[in-house]
Amino acid sequence: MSETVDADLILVRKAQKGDPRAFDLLVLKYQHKVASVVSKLVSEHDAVEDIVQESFIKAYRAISGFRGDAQFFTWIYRIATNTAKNHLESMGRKPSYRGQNLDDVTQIDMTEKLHDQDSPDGLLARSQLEQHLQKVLAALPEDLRVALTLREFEGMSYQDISEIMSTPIGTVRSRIFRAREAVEQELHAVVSGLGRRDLAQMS
Amino acid sequence: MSTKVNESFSAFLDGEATELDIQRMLKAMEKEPSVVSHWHDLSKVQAAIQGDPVLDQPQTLTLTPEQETASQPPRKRWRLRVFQGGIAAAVAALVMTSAGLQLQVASNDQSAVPVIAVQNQTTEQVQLLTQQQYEAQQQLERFLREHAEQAAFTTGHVVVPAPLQWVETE
Repeated sequence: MSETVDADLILVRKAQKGDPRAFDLLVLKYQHKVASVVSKLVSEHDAVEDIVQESFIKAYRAISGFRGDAQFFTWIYRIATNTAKNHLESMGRKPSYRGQNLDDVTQIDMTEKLHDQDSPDGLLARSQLEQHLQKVLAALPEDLRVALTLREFEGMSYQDISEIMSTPIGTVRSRIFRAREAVEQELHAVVSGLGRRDLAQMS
Repeated sequence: MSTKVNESFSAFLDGEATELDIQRMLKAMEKEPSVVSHWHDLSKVQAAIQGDPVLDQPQTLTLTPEQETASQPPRKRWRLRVFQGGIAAAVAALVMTSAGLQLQVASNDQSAVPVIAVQNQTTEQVQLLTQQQYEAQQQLERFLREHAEQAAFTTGHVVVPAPLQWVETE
């Protein structure tokens, strides 16, 4: 197994040379995280998706100016918060986060999950999804379940997981992917429509 | 679509991709653009587990053939926005060009004044003056264009420079 690299930076460099597929990979990786940041600032569900799109368009247009001093996510995070701020200002509202003026907020709590902000309907949907997820995870073969759980809930690196499970990193990669695919197949119907419902229930 | 490339994408989501994974993914996207939809589904699983909002449609820039025919609103909006951006940029460029022309025409009119005043000067000096004026105008135009582009990146609004009449009055 070869060395893990700074994939984001490599893809940024390729995007700077005019490869839109490289940028698409970054979008696929970060779009939900960007939506998470935006949804903490903007409550209208339609606006969240629009702001996410706008943020990535701005990032793509400005990609030639990205020098790589900061992480790509930090950069897109700033673009997204500025875009959300502009959106709120254009609606005549004062951009704020947890009652503070957005200009005074240095960091948005990325560990704060949607359930902390959801409406009762949103909380119910989220709770149902979590129950469904738990059932699907419980039904996974143990080796897949442990690998995915250590990764998603404990945030462990593949190296750490490989040591804990006494198995090569390649096997860990494979198990995590197979676990994700199994969950995706089980949750396909739920997750396919989740985007709209999830965002709609945020407000 | 091979399992290997999907594994590569899964590792990429976790920040564990290797150089080979990147090459593999880019190659797969070129060969089979619809792979993006499957990867988007995988990314949704990750988002759902982590409690992030799940976006229904991938927000990618490039379109797969099936996405082209499937008329998906967010993608249309993408194209619409890029198109709108293009129009805005074109309008800005047009305005700047016409402003530049206006300036040039005006400056040509104005150049009659110094030419009359300096009738006795050599032709070379007049040409030099006109050349310098022309270069200054070009520089100003370049600056305004860069400013408009920069503003479009940072604020999302294309800044259209006002007619350059003020230059004439100074």
